[in-house]
Amino acid sequence: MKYFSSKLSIFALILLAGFFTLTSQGCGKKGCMDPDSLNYDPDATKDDGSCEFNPEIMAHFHSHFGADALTYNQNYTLSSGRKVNLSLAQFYVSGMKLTDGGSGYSFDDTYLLVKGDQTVYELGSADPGQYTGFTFDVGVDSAANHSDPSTYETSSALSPQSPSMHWSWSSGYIFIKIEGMADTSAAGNGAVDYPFELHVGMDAMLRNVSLSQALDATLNNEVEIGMVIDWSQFFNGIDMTTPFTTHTMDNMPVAMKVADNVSSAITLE
Amino acid sequence: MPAAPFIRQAMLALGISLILSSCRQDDLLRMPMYEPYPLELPPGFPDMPVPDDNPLTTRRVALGKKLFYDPLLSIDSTVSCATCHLQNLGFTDGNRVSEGVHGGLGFRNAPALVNLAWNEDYMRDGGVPTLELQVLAPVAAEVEMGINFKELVDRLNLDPTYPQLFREAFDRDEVDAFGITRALAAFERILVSGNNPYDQYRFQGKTEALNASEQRGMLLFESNELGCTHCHGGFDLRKNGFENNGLYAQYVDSGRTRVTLNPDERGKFKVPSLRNVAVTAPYMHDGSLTDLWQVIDHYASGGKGHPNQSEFITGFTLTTTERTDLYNFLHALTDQDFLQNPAFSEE
Repeated sequence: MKYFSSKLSIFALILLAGFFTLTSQGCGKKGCMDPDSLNYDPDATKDDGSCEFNPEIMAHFHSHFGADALTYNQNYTLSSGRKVNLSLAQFYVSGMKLTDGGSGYSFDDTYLLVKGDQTVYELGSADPGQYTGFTFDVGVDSAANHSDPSTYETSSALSPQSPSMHWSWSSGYIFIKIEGMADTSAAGNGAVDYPFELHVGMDAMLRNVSLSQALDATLNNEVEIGMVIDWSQFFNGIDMTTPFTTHTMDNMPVAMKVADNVSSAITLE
Repeated sequence: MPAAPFIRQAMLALGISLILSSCRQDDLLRMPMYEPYPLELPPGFPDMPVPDDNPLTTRRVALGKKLFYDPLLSIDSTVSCATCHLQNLGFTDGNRVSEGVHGGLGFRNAPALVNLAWNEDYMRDGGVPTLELQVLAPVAAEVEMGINFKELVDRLNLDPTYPQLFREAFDRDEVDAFGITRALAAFERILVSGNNPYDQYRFQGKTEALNASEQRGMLLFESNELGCTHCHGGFDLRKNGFENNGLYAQYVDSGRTRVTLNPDERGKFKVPSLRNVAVTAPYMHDGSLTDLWQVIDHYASGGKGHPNQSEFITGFTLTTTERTDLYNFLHALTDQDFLQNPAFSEE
């Protein structure tokens, strides 16, 4: 039907006009007027401040290198005495979940790209509850790992990133990317002159982190989960007297070490 | 009931908006954005598989073609897709390996682009599952085009012509990764070859399409003794899958193992179509064989006996005439229409 009949239009308009008249001059119902709230009242004409919202969950990842806060391109000394600096340090986080005795709250389809020079990440809202912990995977779950980055909105962490976090030749995400310079001399007292790349990916490199902390997520509140990433931990067990760069497939032993170091690198604040 | 002037105006506005929205509905159906690309498949070909999110439209194909020939897709604007995929060479470049930006050299021979829609894997090691995803690979590779995809999106958005073309081809506001990958894949899907003399002989009933020598070569090619069609049979003269063809006893390039890490796949590479093979020299994953005589002699030798070597490569003996017949037949796989089709050429 291309047109309403004129009569029908007039009828509809009169109804519409009547509705506006009634609502604008009526008694004025009080209630929550925010359509994003849990208790939105579409009939309310006066907001009474009663709006309720689910708790907003924030993850804070504080980047450290050993005892110090991380600054890119600054030399640090590992516990072995060897000097190293980082020019880039980031990893994906997927499968995030607030745990409790039951099913908890899962942040489905939420992916973070956690970067060494950024602390605060918004996870979105969760159901209110008394949670006992926070668990997540470092890396990208298998289904998303083999998906097409160009199908994601630009705002998504899974869309093409700069620098890239995706291996285009094997169609998978780089879970962990740490780059910088290191001293690879035998004695460990030489120049910081070896440019290294630790690029870790593949489904088998996904590593779970489970942190226990009481998280009281109540209505209208923001809940902050404070964590520390000690990037120096990622070098544990790696022989740095040889070129130790890995793009995973070309150096599996080092890639495996980096992945296995996730659990010691990420702790509660 | 007389309508007040205000109501009359409101009615007019309402009526106009209704007319507009109904026009828009009709327009959607015949909108050029979704006009299908007129593609006629050669006789003997199965339907073309096309992903749901990338219908083959005239606008996507035209945009993909422009992108394919545009060096703007490389970091220093010197290398386009067509730099390594030349139409007159069956979309290869005649080099052992190809030179990309900053003089960088690839480590594998540039593959021919032909009948790509029917492939199940892309790249010589099959590391990429779709044609759309494949677009990301040469763009990002430091020895090919060497540009971050996000930077490429930003660059094309600043271009005076691309944003409009993307808006016309996609229901999106600007150039994005989705549009670039879909447009290029759409253009690559129309690179269909199916009219070489062998096609004409087999599928079009043109018995004169092959001369006597080529016909003898065809019989050798199809014979059990040579076994070529175990891997290079079917409408596209290839099977989907990976084989170690015994080129080396030890492989520097691990082949499919590079992406699967499975040692049993070492030295296995994607089986290529033999379409237009006479113009796609040099041959093999590393471009190490310079002409089809060397290729025939390699398979006749039975391979170097790598543990993963295909069971079908057992060697054979040919007379001088037979060797020439087989060579001539391979030349009858050249589709001149494909090599010269202006629909594929730079404008």
